[in-house]
Amino acid sequence: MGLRVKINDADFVIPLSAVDKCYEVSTINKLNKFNNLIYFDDEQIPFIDLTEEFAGSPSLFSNNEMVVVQYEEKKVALIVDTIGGKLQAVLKPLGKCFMHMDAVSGATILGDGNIALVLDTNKVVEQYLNKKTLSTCL
Amino acid sequence: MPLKKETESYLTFKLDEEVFAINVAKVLEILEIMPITKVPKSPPFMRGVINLRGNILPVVDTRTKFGMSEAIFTIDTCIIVLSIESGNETTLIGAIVDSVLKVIDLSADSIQPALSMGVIYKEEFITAMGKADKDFIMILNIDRVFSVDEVLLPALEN
Repeated sequence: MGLRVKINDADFVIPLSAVDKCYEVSTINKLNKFNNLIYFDDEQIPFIDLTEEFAGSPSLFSNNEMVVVQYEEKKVALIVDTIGGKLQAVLKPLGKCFMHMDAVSGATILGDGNIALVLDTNKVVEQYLNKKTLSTCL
Repeated sequence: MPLKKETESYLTFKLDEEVFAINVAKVLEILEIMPITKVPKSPPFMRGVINLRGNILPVVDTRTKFGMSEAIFTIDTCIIVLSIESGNETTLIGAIVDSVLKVIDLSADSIQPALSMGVIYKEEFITAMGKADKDFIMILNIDRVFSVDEVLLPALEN
């Protein structure tokens, strides 16, 4: 089972096993852009803006929702455009050409024939952390 | 030395103003352009994936691959589905081209080895030059152009 989300008008699927909670934008009240933290339920949750990550340009936190996923004992919030609900996804391999694409573990074909990419949330977070460490070292 | 009279069929297509050819044995089908799902953080020439009757087909922008500007989709734009041999495996790949022209028959004696191509195209990508109606056509070595190494390496360098 997966959670269907939209990021930059493209469909993605986050495996439901990784998902902890989902929040709407109205509840995201305090975004700390400096150290990428959200204060929520008296908790600090680091966040990754996937719309920015995948497009390469910063998004304006206007119509976003977020999915809180579990990453090694910790919670990480992934910011997406919209959450589309649950779906039964049949995972299909992307093929050798995308073997190095860790963040995407495969693809699934939606009811309308469109393709949704299945995200490997652990790898998404890992890649993001690696990138951050690299940029701070430079 | 007697010349071989064998002829082989080639599919010709256009990229920008240049005419290229691929051996028809490598071509599975030609599709109209359709919406392509972009895969985030993939190299620029990987345009994404499409749904080919329930299978996921990676699509390469041949123009970007050859150092031309990114393909702008028109009514003539096509995706050529190619079967690529790498090692002893065959993979399917879609190649975006500006327009597909026709299938031509080239006899072995009208094909000449490719001379230095300058710096624009990698020499190893072009198997030979074919002569048809006084025009030269570049016959591509697609196993090389779209080999997994060729598709993977630039990504790893990034």
